[in-house]
Amino acid sequence: MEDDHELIKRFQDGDNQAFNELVRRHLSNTIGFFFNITSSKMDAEDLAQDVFLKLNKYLKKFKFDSKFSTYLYRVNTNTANTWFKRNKWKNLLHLDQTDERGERDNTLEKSWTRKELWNAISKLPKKQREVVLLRIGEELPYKNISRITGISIGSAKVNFHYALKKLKKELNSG
Amino acid sequence: MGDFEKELRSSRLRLREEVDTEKFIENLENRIIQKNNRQRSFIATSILVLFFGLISIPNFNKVDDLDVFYKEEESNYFDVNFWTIQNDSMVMDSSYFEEVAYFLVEEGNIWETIDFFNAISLEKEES
Repeated sequence: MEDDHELIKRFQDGDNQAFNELVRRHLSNTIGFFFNITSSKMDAEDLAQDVFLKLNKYLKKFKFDSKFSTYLYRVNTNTANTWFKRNKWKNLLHLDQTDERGERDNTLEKSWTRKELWNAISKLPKKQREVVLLRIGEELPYKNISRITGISIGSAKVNFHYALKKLKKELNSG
Repeated sequence: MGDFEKELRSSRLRLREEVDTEKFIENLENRIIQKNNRQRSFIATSILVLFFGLISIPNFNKVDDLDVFYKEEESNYFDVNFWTIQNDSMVMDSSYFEEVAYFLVEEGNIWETIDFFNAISLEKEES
């Protein structure tokens, strides 16, 4: 099976089928990333469309200096940040409406709802929010988070620590 | 990993339903085509605007001249009352010269008045 870089090369040479193959490979992860944030399959698909539309443009200039998955996470987190900015007021209204097709890892009893959690996450500073998205949402190691966000591993850990502190304070006070 | 981090991770939402990948790709391809078309029409429009802009720059003054010309034309049409116009009024008689002379004197143009009279007497002599 061709790796992602080979597909990108073929796409850069004008083969659009190679791009479609790339979409097939990474679609479910991308939609999953946004579904966790938006709680809506439709919104998650729309955001995934935005991501792949951007990739269709930017991959033509891809320099192969990082893994495609790292690049994809970077685009995902940027798109999520834009979504948080655009939908601040919407988040307050809709995030408690868990999608019927969704499944929660409900193994622990919690004193807060998903709505409260995502409201709190949306209030975090950009870097802290990005680290939380990747660490909590995607369970990525700090090494990968550091590559995606462009900060050092130490800085990623510190950002995550402060983010958790703020989230805990926000959720327990509510 | 602390308890709070575990709590956060356990609140993740996973999509149970399968995503229709081929339909997604079809929609994506349509959006890419639409985007490319919009981009092309934007570039074409920009080139046209630039082209007409460059063509019209040398004609800016000409347009101004035309404007003045039409204004003059308009004022001629609207100021003249064609129903009461008399041919006689177009002929310069002595009353016309007197009125011009009075006007010049009232405006304090004494020398111009004298020049005016000289011009009239010269014209009379020539005719």
